[in-house]
Amino acid sequence: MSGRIMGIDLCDTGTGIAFSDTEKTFRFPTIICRDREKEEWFIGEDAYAHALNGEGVITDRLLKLSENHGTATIGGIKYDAETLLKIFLMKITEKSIAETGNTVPQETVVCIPSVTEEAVQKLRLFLDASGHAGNVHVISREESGICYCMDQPREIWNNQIGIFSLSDAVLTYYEMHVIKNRKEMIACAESENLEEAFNLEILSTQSGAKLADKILLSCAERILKRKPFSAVMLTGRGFEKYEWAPEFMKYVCSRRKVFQDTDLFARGACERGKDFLAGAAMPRFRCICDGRLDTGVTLDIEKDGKELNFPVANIGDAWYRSGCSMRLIPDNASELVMNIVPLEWKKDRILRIPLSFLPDRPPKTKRIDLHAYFKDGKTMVVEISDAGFGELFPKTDASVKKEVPLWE
Amino acid sequence: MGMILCSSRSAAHPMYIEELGVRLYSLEELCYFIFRYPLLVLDDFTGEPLFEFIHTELGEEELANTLSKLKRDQTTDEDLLCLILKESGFYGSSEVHRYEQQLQALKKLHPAEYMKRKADGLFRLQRFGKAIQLYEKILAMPDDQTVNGAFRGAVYNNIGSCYANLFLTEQAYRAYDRAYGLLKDRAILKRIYFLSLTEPVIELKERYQSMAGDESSMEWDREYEKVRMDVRECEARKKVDAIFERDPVRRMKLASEQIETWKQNFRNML
Repeated sequence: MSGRIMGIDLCDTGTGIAFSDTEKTFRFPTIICRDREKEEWFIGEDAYAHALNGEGVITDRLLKLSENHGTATIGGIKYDAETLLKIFLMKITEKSIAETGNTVPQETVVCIPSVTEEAVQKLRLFLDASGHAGNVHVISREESGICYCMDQPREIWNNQIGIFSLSDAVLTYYEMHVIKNRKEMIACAESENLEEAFNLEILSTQSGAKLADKILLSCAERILKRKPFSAVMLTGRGFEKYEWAPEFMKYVCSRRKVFQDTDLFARGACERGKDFLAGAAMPRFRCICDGRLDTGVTLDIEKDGKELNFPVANIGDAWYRSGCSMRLIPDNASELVMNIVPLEWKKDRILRIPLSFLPDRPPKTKRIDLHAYFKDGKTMVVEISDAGFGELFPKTDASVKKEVPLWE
Repeated sequence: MGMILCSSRSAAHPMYIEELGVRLYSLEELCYFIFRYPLLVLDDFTGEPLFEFIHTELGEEELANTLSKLKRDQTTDEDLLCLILKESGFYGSSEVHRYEQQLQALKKLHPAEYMKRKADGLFRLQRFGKAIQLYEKILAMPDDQTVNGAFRGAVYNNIGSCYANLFLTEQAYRAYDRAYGLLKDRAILKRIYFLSLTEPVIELKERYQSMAGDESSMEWDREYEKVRMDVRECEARKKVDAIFERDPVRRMKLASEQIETWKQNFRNML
């Protein structure tokens, strides 16, 4: 397998970049600075330096700003957040590639804290426009964490894995486990932003560090208690050094392996890129996490006289890419029947949508257009409209739209 | 059958069905047409233009090739039609079997009876001009056990109804007159009476007036008046009224569209 892969861990506080062909990694605060006088942009330490000199204006939290469709006015010009994020991404990828041999990656995988369809489209667009990202894919941080862990020896992910990610005022806990009693492996991950997050500046004083250690210890005790963990991983700028948290370290290191990797998510994204490079739409294992479905959906149909269980979406599919558009004829059927199939420990459900909204027509001439898609990982939207039957029975405006919660 | 998955292909150059005045775009529409209108597809429908349509426009190359080969091998039209239905998967085997029996029954009919059913079918589709042509052909057939006075009378009656629907009252009257002469049916007499009411220029012949009698005339007058009143409440009338409630610009546009629709419908009837 040849071809370079770039993994980007894009968060509001900081952004990390890793490559498949070098151990060298990059970290940038997710900020951008524009010169007060001219259209010149700075990132990283240059951005801070420029702002401190009073020559530039910094805009931070670019991801959140973009999600909220925010704007920033610099030097009398109003910039939308998308433009700023696009420039930021272009600058950081350009710099990282230039410092690692100037080879443009074949695959770029970006992981973000929370996957939305809009975010995926935007990031793909921005990185495509940069011209130095190759094929762009967007995944969740949870998925990136799974890929990182699954790349480790089996004993690491034999039981559950806990990941603590600590950055400025953001403390997130990720938990991953693998379901092995199936023909295929399914790796599941969940995450939670912990309320106990603190500003990293407090670590500069002894009392602050002691308090932070106490906070982390109480979190670890609450979360890790009575659960079999085979490993705990520590990541984020807060864990670049961990001497400030002796009590926490003592607790997490007992009876389990502990790893520290500041660039865990960027490397995980790189790992995921290997699947894309190999041409596999799905990883070597199914992921159930943010951005992916934990429930499959099928539709009972007939084709060429045979009954088929048509898959609308499979467990582990990216929800924003899943769904179907098809034309059907409900011959004698008075309702559309879909099967909602969650993971094995939950019960299957049958979804019935009555077709009584269709105009009265002879048998076999009620043709419908079915469009099913996912609003998020928990909600499927089903749209059914009258497609008419050619010029024999022209289409009407009759239609129905239903939002279906995948979880009861 | 349950939920049938349709073929994604839609013809760029659809097949025009003159008798229905519609174009067919998909395999499902073609199958429905074949199944629903057996009398329109039993003669001269299966042939190279159809096979070419199935091949090029519907993308069913294998089926088209099979049909061409079978046609060259003198396979009957009934078998070819059933093959299309079977291969499409749009109709179940029991439905195709029923259709096959229907075709066989039609093929066993006397030519005049077969032609009359076809003409009747065209009448139901409001293709009055084409129906008249077929009825005229039947009348040109020599007398036999089937083609007798009663049969001819029924054909004349239908010709009369075709002309009446085309507002050709004079010809309608003549056809009904021949029908009544052969059948002596009061229902035909009633039709002639109604013709005289819709087209007062044609005066009811004295002999029909006396045949109808005053009592019948009064009852038919009431019936005619009821229909006239009912028409005022029908959907088509309401649609026209709605057009005239619009502002002048919109009214003109909708009225011209409506008139164009009526014109097209009338052209199709001829």
